Amino acid sequence: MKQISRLQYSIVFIFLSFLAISCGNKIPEGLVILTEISSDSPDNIVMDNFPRPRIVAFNLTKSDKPVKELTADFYGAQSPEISYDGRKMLFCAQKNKEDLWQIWEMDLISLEYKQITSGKENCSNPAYLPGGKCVFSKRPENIVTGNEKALYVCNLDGSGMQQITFHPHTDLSSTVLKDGRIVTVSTQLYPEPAKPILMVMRPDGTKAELFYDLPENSKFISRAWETPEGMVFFTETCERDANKGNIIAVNQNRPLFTRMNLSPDTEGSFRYIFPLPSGQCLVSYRTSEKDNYGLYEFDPETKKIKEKVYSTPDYHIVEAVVAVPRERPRNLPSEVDESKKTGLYFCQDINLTNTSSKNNESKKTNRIRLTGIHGSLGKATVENDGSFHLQVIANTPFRIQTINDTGEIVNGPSAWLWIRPNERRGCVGCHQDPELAPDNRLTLSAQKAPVLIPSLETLDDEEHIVE
Amino acid sequence: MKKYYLIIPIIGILYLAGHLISKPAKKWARAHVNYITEVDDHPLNCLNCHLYEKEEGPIYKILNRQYISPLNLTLSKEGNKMYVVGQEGNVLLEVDVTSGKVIHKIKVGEHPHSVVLNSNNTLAYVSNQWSDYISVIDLGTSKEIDSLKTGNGPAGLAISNDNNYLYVVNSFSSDISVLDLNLKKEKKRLAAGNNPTCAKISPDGNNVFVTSRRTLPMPYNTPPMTELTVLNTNSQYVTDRIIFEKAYVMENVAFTPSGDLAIATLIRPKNLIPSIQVEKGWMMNHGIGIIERKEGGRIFQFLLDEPNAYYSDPFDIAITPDGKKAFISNAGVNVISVIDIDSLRDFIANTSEDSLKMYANHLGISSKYVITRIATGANPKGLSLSPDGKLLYVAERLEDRIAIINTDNLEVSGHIDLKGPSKITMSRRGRRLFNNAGRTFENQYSCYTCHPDAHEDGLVYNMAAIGRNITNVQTLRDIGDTPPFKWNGKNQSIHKQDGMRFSKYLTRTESFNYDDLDALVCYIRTGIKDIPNLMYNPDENLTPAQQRGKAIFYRTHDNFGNEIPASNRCYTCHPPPYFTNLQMADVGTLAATDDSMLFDTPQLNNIFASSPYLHDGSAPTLEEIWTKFNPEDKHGVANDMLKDQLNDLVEYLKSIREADYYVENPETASDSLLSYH
Repeated sequence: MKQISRLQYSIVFIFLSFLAISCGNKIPEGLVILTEISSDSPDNIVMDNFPRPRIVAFNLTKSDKPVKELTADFYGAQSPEISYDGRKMLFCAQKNKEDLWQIWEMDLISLEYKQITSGKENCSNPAYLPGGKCVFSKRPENIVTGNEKALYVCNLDGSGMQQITFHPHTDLSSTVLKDGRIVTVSTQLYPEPAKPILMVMRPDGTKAELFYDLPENSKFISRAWETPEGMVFFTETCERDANKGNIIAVNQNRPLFTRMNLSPDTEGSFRYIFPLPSGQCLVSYRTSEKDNYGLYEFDPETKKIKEKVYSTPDYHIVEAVVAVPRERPRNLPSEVDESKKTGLYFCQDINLTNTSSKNNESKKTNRIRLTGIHGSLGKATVENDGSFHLQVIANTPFRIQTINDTGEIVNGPSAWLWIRPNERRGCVGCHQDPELAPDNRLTLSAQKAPVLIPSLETLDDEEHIVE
Repeated sequence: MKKYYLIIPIIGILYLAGHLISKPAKKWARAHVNYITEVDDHPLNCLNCHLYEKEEGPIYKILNRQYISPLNLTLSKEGNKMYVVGQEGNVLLEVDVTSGKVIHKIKVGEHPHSVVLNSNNTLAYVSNQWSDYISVIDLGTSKEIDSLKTGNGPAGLAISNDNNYLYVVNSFSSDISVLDLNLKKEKKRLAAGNNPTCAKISPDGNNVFVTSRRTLPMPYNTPPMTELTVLNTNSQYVTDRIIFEKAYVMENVAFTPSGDLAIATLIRPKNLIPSIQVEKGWMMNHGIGIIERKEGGRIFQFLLDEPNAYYSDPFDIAITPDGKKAFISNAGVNVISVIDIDSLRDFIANTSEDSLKMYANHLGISSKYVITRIATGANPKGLSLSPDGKLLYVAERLEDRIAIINTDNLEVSGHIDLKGPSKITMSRRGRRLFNNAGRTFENQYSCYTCHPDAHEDGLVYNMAAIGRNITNVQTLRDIGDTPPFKWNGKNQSIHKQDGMRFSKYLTRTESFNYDDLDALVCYIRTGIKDIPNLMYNPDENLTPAQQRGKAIFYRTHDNFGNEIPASNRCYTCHPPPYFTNLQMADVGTLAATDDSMLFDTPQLNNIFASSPYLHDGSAPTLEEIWTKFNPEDKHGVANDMLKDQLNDLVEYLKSIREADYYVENPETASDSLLSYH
């Protein structure tokens, strides 16, 4: 009997111990993690390179909201992103003042952290990718202006690092959509600076395309977040007032034509938005330029600011996330084969443009030229039906110009493009309506072998082209 | 006491033996599963393949269930009764709408498709697609009182306003039976499009519109064209054949109450474009076809899709009595798309002709007329509106349930449970996956899209390198025991066929998890039955021409008395029951654009229903396999044959039935072999 009761005690003890351990392993409900930057910081800082930021946390459900600094061991830290299970956090941080910014991951239960990247360049803006990977921004090796930042992906132990964007742009503030693609704020730097856009691509850098185009005179001031309902929220500066930030929503199903300003009538300025699972949002907002950015609740349905959640006189709140589990995006397969040197680019009808379904004869293109950073990569003849089919050197930026039979440039150069090794990519036309699906017909170029670019005669007849 | 001690060494020996066996057994099992799945981490779950994939016998019966699978439905004129066709259950269900209860379950023929009621709601007519007759149901007694013979594969039905004629769409024989309901016999048969499916009578009763699913025979490498057949009910002649260019799988059509517009569901495939990406609608688009019913009326096609969201496999369409809204069931994504018809009219009226044409491929234009999407259960198919148009009833085929949608607030207001089996078997789960586009990038297509009714869509695709390796879609009916798969035979199992490479090159999104993959394979292996060949071999008695053709199929000597090498006789490579020896072969049909390869010998069961032929679909008919693509007799010795002999051979090939028949009647093959000799 004695033995049995000992056994019972043991079982109860083990059970209680297990319960205690389980409770200790749980992320407190309502844990908000945010980036603070000094209230002395200049006002025009957007998205990146905050002066000595820090990441802190507090519990939304506790009335006194005691704040805990999570990155006290770091000189600076920012850009928190929560893992899909809600238990870990990616961030970028500078361990010491003289160190480079690197990507780190912190366990939100033990608060232990590990360094993921350790390159010779600053790394920033990490985001989780499914399959135990992350995407972040880093200065690439082959740079033109010195200011480019490309997207890279790597495993969460830092291995398997791969550059996935290859154009003279800065690619920052990535978000992974539920369909598995990455949306990034991309700004052309060369040959001339252009306004930023949101680009979308697969996590291997293939099928990169325009996702959202800013109005003139606006700038992005935060990363984008997708809501469970398929809306994409972000903040951008007002077209008329660069000091005012607005909350913008687009529908993921049709992002180019569904822009909605969710804060048109709100006084003050927004600089960050994070959608909560409840349908409400956390926003970084201030009523006037004299104030610091504080954290508020925002109702996207009524477009109204609700209660202030948190603020501090010493800091602006510039980013905020909530440590809750969220839906894991699709883990997209990759067609990239690094052993290959080229990819295929196929156009159905280069004469199909946005302005008309067919250009007139004088505008008809019969050749295209691909130009790289350092000049022409080669030319190809366009088939009579307007189609062409190229085998292009991979991981190399290029732009396309269309040329008529008198050597005049009809269109272009296009935006910068690149092809990943073994990628197969298509377009319907040249500057065509971006919502146009291809017409179902067999093109002449699809029945022929692709034209290799760069070709041997790359620079042979440059003189025939009238710039 | 000592006896008990004996147990210890026995247990020890067993333990040791088990330990010794388990390691190599596990190693063997691992190698086996790796071979089947072509991955090295698929769980070693023997039951998934060796139990759930049983295709017949007591275990099959224990594990599987007879579902109802509601396909189409109609309401009584008062709206208090609903009649639901249970496609898998072979029943017509009579449902009391008020109580939401099934009150009668009426047995009908095999694989019923549609139901219509006469105008005073005393009779229901049910088309039995796999048994070639119409069940006539007395709705007073809820009993089948008569049967009416039809053409092959009766599907869509329309009844004349005077109740004198029933128009039956014969989906396999591609024609329309005009049945005289007074004489209870077929009055005439009219040619329809290819694989017609739906018949709808116009509001004025003067026309029947018949949609079809497969393209008309087209020259190779040209886009599909699908016919909508217009029949005049007064003359009972076909008065128009409206062609929808670059579209197919036109499942259903509906009229506005005034009859000025007819709107049909359709799919716009991109089969002639290299399948290099899914993004931006490069694989499949889904939409509607609109016919202006007036002198000089135009035809339009518009999409239901959006740039980053696709609404695959549109099936049925219902238009409210006020003509304001149209509801379309998108069976592949489990939603009902709601169209504002006034907006659609405005859009057409205010858009130039050129632009309207261009908008057939426009992914953003649906925002002009689609007002919302309503989520439903699995695989929404047939639709029916209440007489006042306030409620929409949706047949959720793979839920055995009817959803009720309030057409004012556009929300689901309830469900009617048809009392199918509550258990969702592995095969049923696989069937849901098969019919759902959720496992392709942005839901652009489901397995069903290219394999409607688990068959094939009659198109060829450029799935590999641009312009190379053009591929004819193959049927999935009863293919479980015919490995390898793909024309090049590279996939030794369906697990491999639908595994990682499938996701990398076809679905372009996250691959099936292993549970889902097992379920999908289970469905393909156990749940896809072949159709009965009632068209060419209805009673197992071959016609004289078929008998002569059979002798040619089994011949060993040519017309000149020369012995045909065994390797070049028809039956060597195409032996029953599947008419494939499961081997690879060179039949001399490799195109210049093909990679060098041998071809997996295809099965020939119900080959009549699988045109075009050959690996790249280059032969539009069976005849051309030998008249055009066999100059060196590599695809069997055939160049000695007279035209009549070739005709006979083709007749025999068309008579080849489902494999089960030859399993159950093995003598049919050996008899012919002996009789020839």
